[in-house]
Order: sequence, then structure tokens, then C-alpha cells
Amino acid sequence: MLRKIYVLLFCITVCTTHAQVIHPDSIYTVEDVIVSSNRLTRYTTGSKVVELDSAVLRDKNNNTLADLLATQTQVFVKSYGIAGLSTPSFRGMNASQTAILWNGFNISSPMNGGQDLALLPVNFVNTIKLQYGGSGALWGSGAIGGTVHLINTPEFDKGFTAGTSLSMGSFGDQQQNIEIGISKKRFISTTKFFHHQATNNFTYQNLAQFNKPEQRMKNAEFNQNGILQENYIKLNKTQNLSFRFWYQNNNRNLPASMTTAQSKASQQDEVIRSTLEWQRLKDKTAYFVRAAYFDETLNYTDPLISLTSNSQSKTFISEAETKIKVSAQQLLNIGINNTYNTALTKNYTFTPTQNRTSFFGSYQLRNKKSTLKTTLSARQEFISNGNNPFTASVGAEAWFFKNFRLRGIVSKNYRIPTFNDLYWAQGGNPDLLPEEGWSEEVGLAYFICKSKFSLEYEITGLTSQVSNWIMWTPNNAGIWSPENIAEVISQGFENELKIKGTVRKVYIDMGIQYQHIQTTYEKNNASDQSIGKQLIYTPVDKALISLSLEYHRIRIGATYNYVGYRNTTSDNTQFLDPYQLINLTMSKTVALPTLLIKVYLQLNNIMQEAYQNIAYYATPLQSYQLGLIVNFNKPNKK
Amino acid sequence: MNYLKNIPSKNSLLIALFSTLIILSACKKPAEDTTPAGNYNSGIFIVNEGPYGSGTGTISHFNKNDNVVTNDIFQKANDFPLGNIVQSITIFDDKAYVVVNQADKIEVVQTSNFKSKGTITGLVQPRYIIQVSATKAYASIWGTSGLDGAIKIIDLTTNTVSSTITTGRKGMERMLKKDDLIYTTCKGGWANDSVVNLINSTTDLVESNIEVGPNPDGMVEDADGNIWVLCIGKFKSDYSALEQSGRLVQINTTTNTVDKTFTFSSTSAQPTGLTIDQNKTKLVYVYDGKVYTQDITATSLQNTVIINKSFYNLGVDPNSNIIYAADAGNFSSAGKVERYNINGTKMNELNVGIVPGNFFFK
Repeated sequence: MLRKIYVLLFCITVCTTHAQVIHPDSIYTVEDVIVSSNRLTRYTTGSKVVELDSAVLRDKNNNTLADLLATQTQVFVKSYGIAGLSTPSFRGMNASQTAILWNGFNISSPMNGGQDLALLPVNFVNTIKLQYGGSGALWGSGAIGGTVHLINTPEFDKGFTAGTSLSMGSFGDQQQNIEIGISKKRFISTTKFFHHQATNNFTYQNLAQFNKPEQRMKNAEFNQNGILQENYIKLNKTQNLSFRFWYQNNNRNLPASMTTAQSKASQQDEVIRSTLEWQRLKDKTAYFVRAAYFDETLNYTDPLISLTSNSQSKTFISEAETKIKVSAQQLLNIGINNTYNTALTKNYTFTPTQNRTSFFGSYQLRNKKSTLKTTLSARQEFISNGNNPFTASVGAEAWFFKNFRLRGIVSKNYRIPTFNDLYWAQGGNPDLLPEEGWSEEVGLAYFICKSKFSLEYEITGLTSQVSNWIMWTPNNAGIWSPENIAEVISQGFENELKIKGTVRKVYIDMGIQYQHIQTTYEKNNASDQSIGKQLIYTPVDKALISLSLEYHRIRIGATYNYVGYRNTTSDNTQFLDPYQLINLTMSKTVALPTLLIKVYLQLNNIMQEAYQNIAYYATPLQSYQLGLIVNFNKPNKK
Repeated sequence: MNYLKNIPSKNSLLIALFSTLIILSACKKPAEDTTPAGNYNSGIFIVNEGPYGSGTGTISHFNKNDNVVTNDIFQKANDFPLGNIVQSITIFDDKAYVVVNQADKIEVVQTSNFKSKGTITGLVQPRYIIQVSATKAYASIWGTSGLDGAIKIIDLTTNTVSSTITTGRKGMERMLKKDDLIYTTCKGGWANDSVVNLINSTTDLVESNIEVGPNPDGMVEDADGNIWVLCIGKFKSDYSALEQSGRLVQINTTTNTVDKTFTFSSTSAQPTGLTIDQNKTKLVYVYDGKVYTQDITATSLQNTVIINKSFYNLGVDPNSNIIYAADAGNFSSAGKVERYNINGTKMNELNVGIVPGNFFFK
């Protein structure tokens, strides 16, 4: 019985792409459209989109997105210490060249263009998809290196649910989650709470002092609390309404690096995110109207340098789009987005506002069997305080010899300067142009899908160019100011192999990923020595091997991460050594008719690797997390 | 395992795996500098502050006899880095004192081989050190919050702080000894100040404060025994422009009062890098993208440009009269030191460490 479930499971998850070849599913069934209520599912033809395994998400339920992406994906996460600022880097690009979307809304800060992954709890989202490469025409500014999609998916008619997950780990790490929800045929309301804290007082060897003494990490405590409220209503056969509300506060101290004597710096973040969406889904047309309001407060204090920096940003996004099934083989998507940003801080001499309106559209053409597909997308943005970037992309995919898929995409991408770039006092440069460039990739994949075994291998070759790259450098008068001074080229390849199978009731899931991507300065007006050199803190080589075994609801998962050399200076004269991390997760799940209980143990860095992600920021050696998850589900009366 | 035998792509799987491993093992390590340590009894010592944030500063040594630069001589001799933001190096007797600002310490090294002889701790945001007697030195500190400037008295026999001279000033910076008096510019720390502080080094007591102008930084003594101070100016609270422009000020050391004040015109550019030539008759400084000289007898700013380029800091070798000009580049890769004769004719340049910011000539 169990085996059947597994067989079914992996055939669904692995072979969906394959299945689509044979049975192109009707697009506008209601369920489908709710799930694919944005452009991610239908219009990313030619892009590499990877959905994180749901078992991995559940294993990492009580971790942050920073930890999840760093250990389970090929995204390089740059982290200032164990709970410090953590930002993603896709394919050599930086944090502000990565778009982070929550249910289709870009949650990147208008002030610094990024989003701190250490503040995003995994348990607040159901699905995470990583879209590699540029997709500016679909998602707008910032989608250059890649896009992280955080998705909440409703499940109707599930009944009453209540759950908790509790965990404790090394260095005072503890997290409590509570979830309660009602799911009827036409209505869902779910509320999640979480609290996460740690002291992070681990010991490390201080490499920057005489005799390299053992020291204990200080000033690295953090405390996070959040609530997520989701509501979904089916108004009638064709109309849906959803409302989501996310509040979170974070208090953390920021530890000193090994080369600094002490730190008393701390940071308080508070964020409100709410979204409202209306959908009307008919046979040949679908309409979406959605709006979001984000309010982020960041208070940073460093008493050692008499610095208090308080800032608050507000973002209003409204978007309307329609999807039209022109014919059985043609799809059209047209939309308009308005984003209004404002920020209040004494770091600017005034309160800037920015009003951006963009018109976007995608057109997809495919053959009857859906073995050939091409999508053309374009976006024109109008910005109240700057240039008006136009972007476009063309992507295609083709299945041949039954098991092979060739895909490719060429896209023009951009990133508009942040408020800090434009208005920081002193040095802000209101004349900055958007960064812009092209990215191109080709991927060849091979699939095998048998009843007890599946294999998927893909190799991707990629290049991208970004010009008008914004960098802060001191000007002639010694004032630091951002300028469009560099041009960057990134090129390389990615390999991915996934194997799933069942051997004597043991379900095996294995993955190997390896990437080699060089990201170098083609031009850098601030430093001749940087030309042709790798960008700082972007590893050329990165590998991930993961293996999980599951037998009678006992699951053991292991990951091996290899992160290659990272240069710490732009002329590549200083660098950090590669590091290798092995992490283990073990869990046992007990499923009763209405109750699901899971106990798990995470063991991190079991090989005790002493490594630095950022120069001279200490990281812990071995650490653990022990957790208990209890989920109660009482189905609706039929 | 039977079904595995039927898989047509076992080979392709192996190829994929194999190619991955090959590429992994072929990863190249970036080039590393492995020059052996030398003798550092004389020469030019260049302080490289190091990248901001979490990096480490370094000391470069330029041997004038064979024109060889040796970078990162501290790490090479001691197998640990100096720490974040190396501010200054001062050599007296046979020891070099390297002040590391964010690491709250002064590393004491033997100049012959640059081996560490100890670490002076108990300093918060130290800046410079000056010897005041055979057994005593003063270290200027910005103190807690960068607002609590003070002078720490260092016992050179034990390399410890023996006591503190509280001054109530902000950003105690460069020190200059004239007879028994120690003159210290008060640069403002993480706020603003405007005086040169005077301490009697025999009694360790504050004598007076001379009002000079907004945020005094560089300080040199001229041929007449007077002291020149370069005030970098004061920003408006929103940093949109300078509220008070920079000033070049002469202190008459007989009366300890201000004799001359020359005010710069720019409301955005700050003067920096004050130094003096071999004869101590010509001041050299950086202002608004250029290097200027100024005779000590002039009665107003002469605006004599000798180099049409901006530098992070300057130094003049008192033995050769050569100007050493620090070009910090983009502040995140190795910088350069350019050498000029005193008329501004370029001689050559040296590749040094990240953010070259200070010099010591011996």
C-alpha cells in the first residue's frame, strides 16, 4: 500500500513536465488557475524554474529562508554571521539583482533593493520556486540573476486543522509555531503564529588574534515574532477573493567580526504585508485584480559610533491582468502594474516618492501536442523619478525523441536604482540610470520515467551582461557616491541530476547539482585592476549533493554543500578558502486518522568545518535542532 | 535492484557524475603572494587600512635601497592579521606600534623582523601613538561612541595602559610633541569638535585648548617652530553640504594662539592630507581633487596646484623630500602609492595593500 503511494508520489512530482507533453491539461480549470494565478506557471517558457521539494520544506519548517536556500539549493547566500543580514546571489548577480516575490508581489525594499532572507520564516509559505536567470519582462525591476517565488496555496474543503511545531537547538535556538484553520468548500481561513529566538553564543577560533584563541560569540542574540492570516473565498463558480495579512517583528544584535574588538550594534525590523486579490475565471478568459500594501520599519543603532538610523518605507502595489485563451494553441496575457514607494528617514534630505507604472504582456504559441512552445514577453515601465525601461524576452522549449527537452530564453533585464542610491545624504546620485543587460541560456534535459524509477538530467549553458552596474565609490572630493561605472559579464554552466526510485520499500531521492559560473568585470571605471576579475563574494564553483531515504515513514536526508573560492577584494588578491558542509536530518512520522505526528532531528555541519562565509565572520561548528510537529485535521462532514 | 538494469541511460548518468567530479577537482586556487619576510629597520612603512566592514588592514614596506615593496609584512611574520582598520604606525627605539582602530588595540612589533612583541589593549577606538619619554607614550583614542576622546598613557616597559587623561574633547587624533607639550587635534570623532588640545607631558595634565576651526585633523611643525593645523570642515546635520568649510590654521607656539586662518571656499570638498616638505617651509595638502603647496610665509591661500589628482592621504619623506601619495582606488582592491618630487613630477608608483592611508618614514 505504502509502496503504491510512493510510486504515485514520485511519478506525479517527477514526471509532471513529461506528462504535460502527452496530456496538455486544460488551463482554466478553477483549481489550476488558483495555483497558477500569476505568470510563473504559464509564461516562463525556456526558463529554469525549480520547485523545492515539499519534504525538504517540511524538514526545514523551523528554519529561515536563508538557511533553507544556503543548504538545499544552488543559490549562494551571503550571510553576516549566524543570524545576520543574509542575501541571495543567483548566477553571480547580487542581492538587488534578485527579485523576491510573495504570491507575485515584489517584496524587495525600495530603500536598499533587497530583502533579508534571515527574516523570512519557511513555515509561512507552502511552496517555494526558484526561477534562474533574467525575467525582467515578467517581474520587472530586479529580476536579473534570478527570482525567488514564495507562494501560499489554498486547499479547499480540508476541514478543521490545528497544528503546532516546536523545536529547540544549539545555542539557545528555539521556535514555536501554532497554526489553526478552517477550510470549507467555499471558504478558507488560516492563521499562523511563530516565535523564534536564539542566543547564538557559540564558540569559535578567532583567527585574527595572537595564538588564535577560542572565543565565545557575543551580541548575536535574536528574537522574532510573526503572524500570518490567510483568507480565501469562492464567491461563485467563477469568482474568487483572497486576503492575506503578515505581521512580523525582529529584534537582533549584530555580532562583531573577528577583526573588530566588539560590537554593540542592534537592529529592529517591523513589517506589515497585506494583499488582496480578486479573480474571475471563465473558459477562455481570466481576470485578476490584486493589490498589496507593505510597510517596513528598520531601526539600526550602533552606540560605538553614535549612530542611530531609523527608516520606514511604504509600498502600494496594484495590478490587473487578463489571460486569454486565443485558441487551443495560443495564450495571451496582458496586464498593468502600478507601484508606489515612499520612504521616511533622516538619511535623506527629503521624503522621496516614486510612482512606477508598467504595461506587460506575454504571448504563447504551442503546437497541438504541446511539444513545441514559445513565449514572447514585453514590459514597458514608466518611472516618475527616472528613466523608462523597456524589456522583452523570447523563450522556447521543444520536446524530441520522447525523452529530451531543449529550452532556451533570451531576455533583456533591468534594475532601477534604489532610494539609497538616489537620495542618501551625503552622496546619493539622483542622476543614476537603471542597470540593464541581457541574459541568454540554453538547457538540454533528459528524462526517464518508469514505474519505480525516474531520472532527470539537465545541463544549462548561460551568459549574461549587465551594464550601467551601480557601485559606490569615493568621488574626487572624497565623498562616497554611487555611479553607473561597471559592466559585468557572467557565463558558465549548471548541471543537475535527479534520481528517484524505490528499492525494497525504501524510497530513494537523490540529487547532484554542480555549477561553474564566472562573473567578471568587463569594465570598471573605479578600478583598472578589477577588469577581468571575479566579483567579490561570488563563488565560481558550487556543488550540492543531496540524498534522502524513506522507509515506513522514517526519513533520513543528507546534503553535501561545496562552496568554492570567494574573492574578498575586487582585484582578487584576497580570497576565502572553499568550504564543505554536510547536514543530516532524521525524522519519524506517525499518521493516525486525524492526527499526524512527526519528530525530527537536524544535525548541521557534522564534519565540524570551520569556515567563513564573509571574511572574519565566525560560523558555528556542529549544531543541532530537535523538533516535534503535531497536526490535527478533522475533515468536513460530507 | 533488477529494474535498474533496464535503464538505457546508466551511461549518461555516469558521464554526468564523472564530468561533475572532474570539474570540481580542476577548480583553481587564486594566486597567492609568498614573498619571504625581510628586514624592516628602515624604509617607508605604508599603512593600509584594509577593506571596511569585516576585513583586515595591512602594513606594506618600501625598501628605498632596492626599490622593493613587501606587502602584508605583519601577517607574514606572525601568521595572524592585524585586524579591522589599521589607523597608524609609529616607530620609536627598535619597535613599531601599529594602531588598529576597530580592533581596539595596538600591536607592538620588533622592527627587525616585524614579529609581535605584545598587544596593548584597553583602548577604545585608538588612533595614534607618540613617545613622550623613555618609558612612556601617549595614545589618542576616540573612546566609547566616538564621543569620549581621551589620551591613554602607555607604560612602554609593560605595554599596558597605566592611566587616562580625560579631556572632554571629541575625536582625539594626531599628536605632536614640542618640548614638554603634546598638541592633539580634536577631529570630532563621530560628532564635531574644533580645538587643539595641549597636555603637559611631565605632569600629564591638560594645559589648555586652542580654538582653531571645524574638526582639526592633520598637523605639522614648520621651520619656524610654529604648528599648522588642517581643519576638514563641518557638515550640516543632514550632510547635504558643509556648514563650515575647511581651514588651514597656524598656531604660534610661543603664545599658543592662532596667528593665521585661511578658509577654503568649497562647501562640499574637504581638505585633507596635510604634510610638509623636507625644509619645513612648504605645506602640501589635498583639496578638491588636486594637490596644493603653500609657503609657510604666505598671507593667504596660494592655490598652487602641483598634482592634478586627488589622493586619500599624503606624506613627504624627510630624508629625500619625495612626496608619497596614497591612491586608494575603489577602496576594495589593492591601492597604489605614487611617488612625486616636491614639484609634482611623477617618479613611479608602488603597488600596496587595500586603502593605503598613512605613512611612516624611517
